[in-house]
Amino acid sequence: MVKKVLLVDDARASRMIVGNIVKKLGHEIIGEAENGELGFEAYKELKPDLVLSDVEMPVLDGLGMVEKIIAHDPDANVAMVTSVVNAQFIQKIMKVGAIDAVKKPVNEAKLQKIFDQLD
Amino acid sequence: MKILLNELNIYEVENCHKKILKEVQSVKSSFTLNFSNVEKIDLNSIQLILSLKKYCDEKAIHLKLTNIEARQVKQTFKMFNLNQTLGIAP
Amino acid sequence: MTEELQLFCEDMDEQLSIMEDTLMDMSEISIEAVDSEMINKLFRAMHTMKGNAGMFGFDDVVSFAHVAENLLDQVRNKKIVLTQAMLELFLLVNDHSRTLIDVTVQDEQLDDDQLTCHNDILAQLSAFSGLGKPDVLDLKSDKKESEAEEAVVDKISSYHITIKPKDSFFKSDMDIMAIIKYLGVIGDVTNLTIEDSDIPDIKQLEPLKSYLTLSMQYQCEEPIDEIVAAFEFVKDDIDLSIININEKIETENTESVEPAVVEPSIAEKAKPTSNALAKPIKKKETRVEKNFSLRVDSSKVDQLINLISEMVIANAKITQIADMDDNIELLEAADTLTSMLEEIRTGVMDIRMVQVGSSFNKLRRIVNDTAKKLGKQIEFVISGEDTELDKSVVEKISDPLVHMLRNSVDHGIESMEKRIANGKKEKGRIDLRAYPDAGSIVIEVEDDGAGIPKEIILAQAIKNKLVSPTAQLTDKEIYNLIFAAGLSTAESVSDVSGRGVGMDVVKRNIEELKGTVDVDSTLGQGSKITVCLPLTLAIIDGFLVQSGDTKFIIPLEMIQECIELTSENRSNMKNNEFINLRGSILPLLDIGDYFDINRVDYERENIIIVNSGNQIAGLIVHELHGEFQTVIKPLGEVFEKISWISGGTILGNGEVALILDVPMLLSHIV
Repeated sequence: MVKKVLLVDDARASRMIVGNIVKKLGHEIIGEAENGELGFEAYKELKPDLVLSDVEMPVLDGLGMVEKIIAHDPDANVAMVTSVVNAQFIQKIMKVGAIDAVKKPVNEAKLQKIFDQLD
Repeated sequence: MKILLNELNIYEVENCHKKILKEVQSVKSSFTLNFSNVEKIDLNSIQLILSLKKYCDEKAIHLKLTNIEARQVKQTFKMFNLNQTLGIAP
Repeated sequence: MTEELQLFCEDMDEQLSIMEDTLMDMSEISIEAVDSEMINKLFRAMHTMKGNAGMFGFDDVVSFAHVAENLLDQVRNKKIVLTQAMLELFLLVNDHSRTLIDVTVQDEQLDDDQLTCHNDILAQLSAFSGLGKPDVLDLKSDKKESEAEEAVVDKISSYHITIKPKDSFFKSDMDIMAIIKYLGVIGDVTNLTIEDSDIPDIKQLEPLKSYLTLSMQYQCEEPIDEIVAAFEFVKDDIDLSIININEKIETENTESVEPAVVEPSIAEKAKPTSNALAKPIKKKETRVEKNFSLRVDSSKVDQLINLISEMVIANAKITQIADMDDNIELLEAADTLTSMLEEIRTGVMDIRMVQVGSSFNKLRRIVNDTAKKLGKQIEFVISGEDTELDKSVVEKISDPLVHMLRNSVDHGIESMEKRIANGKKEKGRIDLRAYPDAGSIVIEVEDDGAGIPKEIILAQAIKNKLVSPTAQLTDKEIYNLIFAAGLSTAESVSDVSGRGVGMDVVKRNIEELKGTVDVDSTLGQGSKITVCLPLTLAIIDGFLVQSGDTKFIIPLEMIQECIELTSENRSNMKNNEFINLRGSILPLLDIGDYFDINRVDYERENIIIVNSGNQIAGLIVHELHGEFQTVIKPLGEVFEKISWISGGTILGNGEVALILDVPMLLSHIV
C-alpha cells in the first residue's frame, strides 16, 4: 500500500534525497516542512502515514515536534533521520514516541525497514 | 482480567504479579488478560507474561491476551517474535 | 589449533563438566528427587554444544547434540519420564561428547569402536525419545567436497549475539529494547528470541529477578567495537557475548589457495535444525565477551606480574633516594605510586585467582569411580568450593589431590564388611575442604577409615632403611613417613593407587608450590591430610627487620604482633628460651644467635610474634623497619638446602634481605 509521507528537514537538499528514495520505494511525499513547528502544523493538516524528520532544526527541534505530534495523535508514526545515533538516543526518541531512527546516509534498505513497521 | 495500568514496567511489576497470581489461581480452563489500557510494556513485564504462560500451560489453562492496541505493545511482542508463542493475532 | 577452536574446546569442557557434575549429583539422589533445574543444566550443555559446533560447521557434533537435546527437552517438558537407564545413558553421552569433540577438533575420524559407540548412543537416545531410526554415522562415505558457493557479501559481518540480563538489569534505566532498536538502525537484527526455559512459573517467579536470555542473529558493516559500545550503559548489568560468524568475504574469485572446507561425512543427512545456525561458514571467527569472562593467555598475566615486581623494586629505590635527599614532593609522588602499584598488583593477582570449586567437582567422579571399582560405598563431601586460589596453583594441586583421594578410598576407607564388623556406618565418608587461613589456603582430605597403622609404617621404614631402628619418633613423625620416598605400605600394590605417583611425589609437588603437607591419624577412626598453600607465588607483603647487620623479611600475614623485649622479660627468662606472654608460654628464637650473626649490642630488642598453622613463637630481632612489599627472588642452588629461608629480595638501596620461611623456623623451635 502506498504510504503518505511528510518530510521535515531544514536542509532542502536533504529533503530531496530522502524524498527521492521514498518515491523509489513506491510511496508518496504529501508535504515538506523546514522546522518542527511547521512540521507539526503540516501534520495536523495532512494526516500523513509517516513523518521522516531531522533532529536538529531551528524554531522547534525534531524531538520537540514528536512530542507535540504524539500529544495530538498518539498513533502517529514518526521516524528520526540522523547522522549521530547511539542507544541512548534511541531510548530518548522512543520515550517521546518516535517509532524508529534512520542513520544517514539514507538508502532504500534502511527506509524500507521503517515502512515495514507501518501497519 | 483487565489490566488497569497504562504502563507495565518495573515499578508496577510486583503489584501486577500479585494480582495476576491471585486471579489465575482461581480459574479452571481459561484466563484472559485484557490489554486495552496498556500503552507500554517493558522486558520485565514480558518475563512476567512468559512466566504466566508457563503456569497456564502446566495447568492446561488457555491464556488469552486481548485488545493489544497500543503501538509500543504491539511492536514489542512483534520484536521479540512472541506473537505465536502467546497466541496473539498479528 | 586456532584460537577460536581453543575457545570452543574450553567452553565445551566447561559445559560438559557441569553436565557431568550434575549427573553425579543426580546419581546420589533418588530419581524422583531430580528437579527441573538439573535437567535444565544437562539441556543447556547439549544446547550449547549444538550451537557452538554449528558455528564451526561440525555437523556430526551438531546432530549428535541435537538428538540428546531433543530427549532432554522432552524430559524437561515432562513429556517423557526420566529413568535410571536414561541417566546412565546421559553419562555415556557426556563421555562420548568429549571424544567426539576431540576427534572433530583434530580433524580426524572416529575409529571403529568410537563409531559403534556413537551409533549405539544415538539409537538409545532415539528409542527413548520415541523417534525412528537415527541418522547414524557411516565411516565409509567420503568426505563431501566443499562447495565454493558462498554468498558474496560486501563488508558485512554476521554475528550471533547473546544477552543475559542480570538481576540488576531491570533496575537500570536503560531499555534493552532501545538497544536492540539501535542495533537495527546500524545493522540488521534477525531471529530475535527470548530463551524462556529458565523462567519459573508465576507462582515461583520473583518478578524483579531476571531469568531471560535474549539471542539474535545480527549483520552489520560497523566494526564489532560499535556493537559492544551499544551496550555501554548496561554493560555492568548484563552478560554479553558477541560472536563473529564470518569475517568480511572479499570476493568470490580468489585463487584456489583457499583451504577446502572439510565437511563431516554426514553433512547431508544432518542439517542443523535451528535456523539460528543456518549457514555455518568456516571463516575466521572473533569473539568478544564482556563481563562474562575474558580468556587471556596466562603468560601475559605472568609477564605483568614480573613487570610490577620490577616496578615495586624501582619504586622502593625512588622512595629511598627521596628520603635521603629529604625531597618531600618526590616522596609524596613515590607514595602515590606505591599505593597505585599496590592496587595494580592486587588487581593483576585477582585475575589469576579462581575458585577451587570446579576443579574439586571433577574429583567427585574419581572418588565415585574408584569406590565403585573397589566395591565400597563412599559419601564424598566437598566444602569451601568458593575459596579462591591462584589458577596455576589450582592446576598443579589437582594431580596430588587425585592421588590423595584415591589413597583414601583405597587404603583409608575399609571394606564394607570390615566397617560393619567394627561397628561403623557401612558407607565411608571422605571430606574435601578448602579454606583460607593466615594468608594461606588450607586443603584437607579427611576420611573416617582405618587410620594409619603406626607400627607397620615404622617397621617398613626401618626395613627400607629410611629411619634407624633406634630412632625415637613421635606419632606425627611416623605418620609423615608416608611421604618419604621408597615407602610402600600396601601389602600388594593394588590397581588403584599403587600405580602412578606415590605420596612422596605428592609431597614434592606441594613443596614445589611452596606449600606444606602434613598428616594426622587416629587408628580406627580415620586420617587427615592437610595441605597448606600460599595464596600467590610472586610477591608478598613483608615486614622488614634487622638483626646485627643482616636484614630479614617476615611475611606480614604471619605476624601477630610486635612487642619489646624488656629487661624485665630478660631477667624473667633466666636463660630459658621462653617468656610469659599474658599468661601463656611463648617460645623464643633469637635470630641473631640462630644465624650466628655478628652481635652488636643494642639497647633494645624486639620480639616479633609469628603464627603459622597452630604454632606461635617469638622471634628476637634488633630493629624493626616496617612493612615492605617484597618480590621474591629465588636464591639458586647454593642455598637450596637452607630450608628456613624461602628466598631473597633486593631492597631499594640495593641491599639484599632474606625472606624467612616461618613455618620451617617454627618446626625447628617448637
